[in-house]
Amino acid sequence: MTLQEFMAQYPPKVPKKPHANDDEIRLLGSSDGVILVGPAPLETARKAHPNSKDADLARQLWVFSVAESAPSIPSIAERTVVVPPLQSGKVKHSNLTGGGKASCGGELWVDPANARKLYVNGASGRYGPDSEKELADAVAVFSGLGFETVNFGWDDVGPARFLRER
Amino acid sequence: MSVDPATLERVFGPSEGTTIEARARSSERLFARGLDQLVQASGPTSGRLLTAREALEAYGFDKLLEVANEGSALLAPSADAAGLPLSTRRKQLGLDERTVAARAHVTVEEVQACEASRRLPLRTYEKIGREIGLDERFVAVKRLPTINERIALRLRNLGDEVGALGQATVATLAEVAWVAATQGRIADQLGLVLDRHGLEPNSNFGTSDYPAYRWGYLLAQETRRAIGRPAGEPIASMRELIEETIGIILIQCDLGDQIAGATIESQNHRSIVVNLSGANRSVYVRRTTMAHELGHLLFDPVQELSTLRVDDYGELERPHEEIADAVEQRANAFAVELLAPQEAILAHYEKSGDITETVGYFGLGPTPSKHQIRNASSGRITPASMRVARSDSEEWRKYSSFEGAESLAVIDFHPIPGIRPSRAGRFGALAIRAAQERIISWDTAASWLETTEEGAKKAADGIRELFPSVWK
Repeated sequence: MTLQEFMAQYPPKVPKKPHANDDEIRLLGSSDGVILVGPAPLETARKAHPNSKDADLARQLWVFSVAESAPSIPSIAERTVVVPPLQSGKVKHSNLTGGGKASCGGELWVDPANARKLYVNGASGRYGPDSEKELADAVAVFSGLGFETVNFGWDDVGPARFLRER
Repeated sequence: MSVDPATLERVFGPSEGTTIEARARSSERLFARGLDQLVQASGPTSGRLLTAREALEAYGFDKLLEVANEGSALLAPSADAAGLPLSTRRKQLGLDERTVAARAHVTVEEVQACEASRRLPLRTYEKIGREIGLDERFVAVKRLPTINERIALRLRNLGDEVGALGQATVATLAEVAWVAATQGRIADQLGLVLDRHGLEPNSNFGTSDYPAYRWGYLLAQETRRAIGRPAGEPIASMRELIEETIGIILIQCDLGDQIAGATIESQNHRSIVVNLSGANRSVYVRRTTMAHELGHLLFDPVQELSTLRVDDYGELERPHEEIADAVEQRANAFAVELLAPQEAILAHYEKSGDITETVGYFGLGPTPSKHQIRNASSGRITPASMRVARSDSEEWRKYSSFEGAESLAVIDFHPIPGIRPSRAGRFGALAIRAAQERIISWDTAASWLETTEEGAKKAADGIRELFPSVWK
């Protein structure tokens, strides 16, 4: 599935949660560390397995955005230190959209041994998928970019937060 | 912790009060828990539904605030925190996967998958956790087993020592430990707290001049005084005395033919466990078992209780003077003296001249009744001189009136068909009342009682009729 096809099926939506403070909707850009996910591989992100001890530092937030002129997949490490610093100390998905609309959002990790392999989930309180099918379709977008993908799947109550075998 | 009203509103929705606890109590918001995370419930979910109060108590305000701010709160510290406590505790207990699977009504493959922290419904993890005595609220939340750690080790040691506690008994007692801890927690939240009537543990187990059984007599007399029961008055229901007068948790279960009962101390709550099988099928033996365990529970210091003490029928049936273990000797003497104080039983027998009537009056079995009368008469009246009517005779039935009052086994006519014995007692009533007061969700109550939410609600009135004191 292409990004455009995904967005046609799942139109961009406003954040599900209101922002707690203004810097949660400060739009971050490439100078802050935002990268655009394009065709595989993804060499510029920090790499770690999602169940490793380095997982927190390597966690990348992603959204399917319409903030730019064309649909894109901006991504940034959640723990990125930006200037001026963010109140919560962590980047939010809304920092990738400026508080605007996005079709979907979640987290990803780049495999430490293979920059063509992504571990993807839908953990976003603001733009997360509403169904297991939507998450699968979102992961298919990354597959369509040439990545080998691992989908975290669905917990009882929403997108899974940990990668677990089934 | 002071939180502004707007934040409280965001976390709990429409609610009243100025404190976190008050808001949680009055909130009608439901939370849903999955294996990894907590979210605000919206619509049907396969996750565990929790009331605001229940979620707050288990996971704290910061997690609830995270749900409000971020849409979900991560509960699990790591992926392996789901299975690690399950496998650790199962191995602590020495149980095999098949036994745990059978008791939890899951497959062996599901037990293995859960222990490997694989993606399975939270409810499967919870079922397994409860069977091995874990607090299911913290399955996947804490990497180490929570609660009943010492009981698990004690169970393992008991199995190693006597070799008699098979897998089924260990598994039953592990689940009973979960019931005890959960019931104690809910009773606390409902304000149904233990009233010890001034009775405190007593570490005096006698000397050669004044043996332990004499201390047992004294403690029984002290107990009767404390609860306002004169020596000549029979104890109509040991069950009521334990559960309602003193407020001790009483749990019934099937423990095979060897074990009479046990005491468990879990999360600062002491509980009595009564076996429904074996000699306890006789109401007189069952009353003696309950009185014996009450003696342990009220008066044995913590180090003697060992968090779990198991008594077999052999010890209970022996005259207390012949028991070498001072702790057991004292508890045996306590039991018979509590049920039928020596002076009173002697006076009754001398007046009636009919041991069957005396047995029926005090509700103490024929053999211990005869021993009590012999001891009270300083040997003047011998056991052989007292003839008890056959237990299938009309005369016996005329005097035997305790079966109804001591009825623990309400399983056959319990409003929830097929409920297991350990949850058919007061535990079920507390679960229903806690759900009615939003201390727990109906979903939680239903899972504890192994029924559906609708089934639990439909059973509520019937359970209330069985255990009216829970609603007083």
